[in-house]
Amino acid sequence: MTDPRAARLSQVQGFIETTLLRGRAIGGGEELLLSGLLDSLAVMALVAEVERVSGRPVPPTDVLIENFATLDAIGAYLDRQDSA
Amino acid sequence: MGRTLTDRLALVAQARAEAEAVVFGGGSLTFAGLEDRAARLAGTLKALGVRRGDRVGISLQRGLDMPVAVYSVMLAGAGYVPIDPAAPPPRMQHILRDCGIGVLITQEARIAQVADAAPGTGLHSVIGVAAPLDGLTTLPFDAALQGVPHREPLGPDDLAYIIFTSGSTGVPKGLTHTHASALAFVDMATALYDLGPNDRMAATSALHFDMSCMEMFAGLLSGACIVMVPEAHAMMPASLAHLLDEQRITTLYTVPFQLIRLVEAGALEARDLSALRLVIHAGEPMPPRPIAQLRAVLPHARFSNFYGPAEVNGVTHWDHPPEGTDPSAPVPIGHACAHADLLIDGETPDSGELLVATPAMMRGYWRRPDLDAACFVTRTGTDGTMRRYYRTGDLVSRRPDGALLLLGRADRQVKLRGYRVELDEVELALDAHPAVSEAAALLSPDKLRILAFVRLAPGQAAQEADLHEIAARRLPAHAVPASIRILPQFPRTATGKIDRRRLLTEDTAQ
Repeated sequence: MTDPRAARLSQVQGFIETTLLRGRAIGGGEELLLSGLLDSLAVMALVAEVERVSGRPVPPTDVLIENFATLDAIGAYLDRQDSA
Repeated sequence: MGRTLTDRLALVAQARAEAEAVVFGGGSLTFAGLEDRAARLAGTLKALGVRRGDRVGISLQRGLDMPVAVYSVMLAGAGYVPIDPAAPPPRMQHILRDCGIGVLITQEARIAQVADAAPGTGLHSVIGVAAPLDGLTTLPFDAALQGVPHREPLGPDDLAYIIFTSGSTGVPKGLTHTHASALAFVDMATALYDLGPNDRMAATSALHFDMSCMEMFAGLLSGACIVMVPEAHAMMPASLAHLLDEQRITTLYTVPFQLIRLVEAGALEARDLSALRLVIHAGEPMPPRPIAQLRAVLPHARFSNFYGPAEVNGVTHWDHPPEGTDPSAPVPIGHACAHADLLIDGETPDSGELLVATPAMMRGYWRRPDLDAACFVTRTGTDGTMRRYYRTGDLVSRRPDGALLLLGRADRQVKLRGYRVELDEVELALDAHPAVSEAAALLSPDKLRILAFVRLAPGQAAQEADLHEIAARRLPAHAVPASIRILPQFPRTATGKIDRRRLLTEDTAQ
């Protein structure tokens, strides 16, 4: 049985690695924003992907560095959205 | 008063030694600390062979090291050449070779790019990198700060910096500024915007973008504290709004895109922005509507449009009237700054290409006498004396109240089936639709059609037919775009401007 949370996050990971970074693998704690890996267009695409995967909008107030800085942070944010 | 940027830094470092000069994340430097580090790094640059008049490259993201690097190069007697940290290796290589750069100040993250760009250039030393690089001397930043302090005596005509712009042919061209031209800008901007020790200025510009002169020079040398905005905040408007609140920012100088994002997604209502007294936008035309929305959250603030090509830096300004900004009229570029004399070169005295004479003007293009010959003209100024003017390539018209309107680039004025069309006017017509956040218009590659692209404001909907209708109502028939496409996002240049060339490739790709 697959954990739906893990499946959801691995979709986001796949999107970052394949679409945004053209085949570069990332680690869960790897800094995506402060390292300059993602530019501003990529960040907006990432937010849209998170919305698509979770089926819920990400309100502007949640588009914060602490929620999108790493893959782990995105996972934690999605989990918080679940319990909200 | 000091006739060079470095003399001025010494004066501020003496007068405000223990005051905060630079803040980044949890770290900060005092003015004395900044000057001392810069002098030590200058000593290292001298030891690496840098001489007066040389060029030293800087490729850094915003951080505490950026102003240290800038002033260290000048204290070593050289001019700094900022290189976009995101620049592809061929561009970095072109700049290294063109400027004869021997020493580059950069950071660990740029290793691969530097290794690709260095061969075939005169680069011999890299500061900010610990790992060895083939054929290059490398030195970590902290080690480079251990040099013997050096403060080269300089004059106003010494080279201060060279900024590269794309150039219409795609070959980057360097703009050479001296200490005198930079200080002329500093003194004007300090007086115009009343900058001083009480200010905390958000630094949002990349160093290779001339807007960075505001924070690096005018901000610091007026005694203000500059708060370096991390790159990530520039992508996350709600985080930027948080920083503006938490850091008690008083002045924000940025591109229209950043302000639009703040309005759309910054959740500004939740923030205490009472300290923010001044918002300046520059770099490209500002759609008027977001200013009205910003004013609603910042009723006490001054809003100003600041205009000028990097060759002359800011030369006109226009303060949005407190009673409101007309959402359907273009934002004027306004009136000449105190240090600038403006002429209009055209068929009528009130409409044509803008020419500028100012002591803040560049010395010329770097090793491009052909470009100098085309851009400088000698004319009789408004005071009757002969002066050298810079041809901006921008078309302006004068309103009855004397304020100048920017009609667009001379090269944005296109001929279509014999008719003259201002592409910026097409964009403004589309901006008038309430659902539209931004519009971009350009000529198709076959030069037969106008193509338009719009981005809608969040939560807004519009059909391409509605947009076509508003364009048809506001524009002469020959200027109505043949196609109007709604895009979720626009491609952007590194500085946040709409990347019109990429829009065109995306259109052809469809």
